[in-house]
Amino acid sequence: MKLLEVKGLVKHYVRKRGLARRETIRAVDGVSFSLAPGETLGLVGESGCGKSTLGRLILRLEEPTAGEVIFEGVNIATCGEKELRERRRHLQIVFQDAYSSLNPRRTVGASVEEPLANFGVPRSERREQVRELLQLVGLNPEEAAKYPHELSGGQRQRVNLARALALQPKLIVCDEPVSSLDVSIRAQILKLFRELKERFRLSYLFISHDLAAVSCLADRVAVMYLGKIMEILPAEALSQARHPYTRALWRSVLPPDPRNRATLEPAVKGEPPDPANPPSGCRFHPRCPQAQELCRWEEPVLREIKGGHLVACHMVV
Amino acid sequence: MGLVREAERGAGCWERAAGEGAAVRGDSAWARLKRDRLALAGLVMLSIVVAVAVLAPYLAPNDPVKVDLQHRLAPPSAQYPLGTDHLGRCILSRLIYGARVSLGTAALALTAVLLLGLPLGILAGYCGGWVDNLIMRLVDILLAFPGLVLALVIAGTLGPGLLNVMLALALVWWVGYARVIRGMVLAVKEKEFVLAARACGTSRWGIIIRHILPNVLSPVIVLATLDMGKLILAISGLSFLGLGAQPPTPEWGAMLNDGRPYLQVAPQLTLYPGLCIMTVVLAFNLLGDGLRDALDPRLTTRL
Repeated sequence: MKLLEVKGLVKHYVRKRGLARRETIRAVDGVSFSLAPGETLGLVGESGCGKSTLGRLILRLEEPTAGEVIFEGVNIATCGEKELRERRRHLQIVFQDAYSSLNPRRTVGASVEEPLANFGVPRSERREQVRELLQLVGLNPEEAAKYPHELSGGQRQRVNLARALALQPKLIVCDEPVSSLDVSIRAQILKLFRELKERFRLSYLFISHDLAAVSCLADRVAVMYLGKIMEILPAEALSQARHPYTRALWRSVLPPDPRNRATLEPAVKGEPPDPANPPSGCRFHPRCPQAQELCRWEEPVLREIKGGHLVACHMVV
Repeated sequence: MGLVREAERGAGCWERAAGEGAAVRGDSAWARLKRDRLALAGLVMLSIVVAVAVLAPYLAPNDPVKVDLQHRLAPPSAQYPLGTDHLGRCILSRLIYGARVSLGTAALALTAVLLLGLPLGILAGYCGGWVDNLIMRLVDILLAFPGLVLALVIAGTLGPGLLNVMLALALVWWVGYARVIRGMVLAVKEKEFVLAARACGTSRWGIIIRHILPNVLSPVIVLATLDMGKLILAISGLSFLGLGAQPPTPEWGAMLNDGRPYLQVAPQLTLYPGLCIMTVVLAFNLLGDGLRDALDPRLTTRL
């Protein structure tokens, strides 16, 4: 039984340029993957590749252009308002910006209490539950009376996590939850994510541009480039990635020992192309060191090359 | 209906009263306002004027509409501390009661403006689509006319009277609020805390009441304070033209008009109400500027 199944998900934005010209930006362009209960999928990619949009589409915080998001057997992408609300109990999200995720005019206790109030937890029980939730994420329950600007970045992200956990979700979409934090705090928060995952058998869709952060938390990793998934592989197999893009990303993770640093040249040259006008054939071919003539004309499909290892590349046999 | 329910549900056990929160914040808006001497001066001036308006029956030495034709245009005396006007009415008493009329009408007009502008602005910003288009095109049409001239036309059509003046002003004044509020709602509704609220099951009303409204309110307070001055001027102006307060109602703008023929023989008839208008408008502007700085130190452009 799959917890979440995404099939051919598409999100196009229309950008107006000048008076009459319109461009279609293909933020997410046909993405499919699935997630088992308790499993964590890391979603990696450069900025602007559509990974955050994908996360928001799964909760239907944005309306998908096409495709299906099947969560616990219900298609979130097309279901009614009531059903959606009911499904979101088990489907929560934590955003990158811990500060703007909290209403500056409400105490953090009120923010954590909100989902409980929405789903009819009696007021007498809410106070105790909020205290428990704050303790769960490693905060002093007394912090409930504080305002977001009175907390540190790490504390704020803990509050966001407490709010996401309030309804006992099965899947939490984590949209770069540690990217805005100081490096010193990052490890602590990642550790918290891991503990909570094990304790409540949570699934995460862990979105990040930091392959190192993802590999310490994820069971499987999906690599996204310009709105498409290039490779899905088990996290422990990252060093044996087959797609040239994944391999370049993996090389760019700094090894702990500086003497082993093979090269200092950039792993991938150049900027990602404009998603309004993606390259023909394989989207990665203009930046790919192995690109051949075929890559310029034909778009590779995502196919399984080994159990649980999927690649979209012509050059992988 | 839904509104009240949401407001009640929002008042959970972790809510703190606004004053309580500010006290913890240390550098609160109130603390910043207290340091601003000009704003404080404005606040003090306004408090005095409001107190005078409220206590008018106890403070006024004479009946403001009582005609005493034997003492027309009299100089200051024990009975008439600021003298009398062309009908022998006590100028001081008329000024005191005039504070009631001028402030009261401006406040009522502002309430009407907010009642129109706030919901329409939030609706346009939050709903978007054709609702937004409809409201904003209406705003564009109204903004294409000079506001005061349009108010003049409406008030003229409806006939003279304070109520009609308030109505006319509200009908042209709300557009500025709708615009400002729509813009802020557009910015706030994309913030992650609104998305998070949607994700955790908060209804549309809940999001508007608990998340959007509190975060767009402080610029509105500033705008409203500054506009109180402008509304007093507009009401006085329309009364001066004979559209607003009708005789014998003591209103500052109407008093200016009454005194106009006697400008050379009895300048005090126009001088005192003019000074009153100026003082109150100045006070509102000082307070408004101070509030703007206190509520949002980052906001540098003048509203």
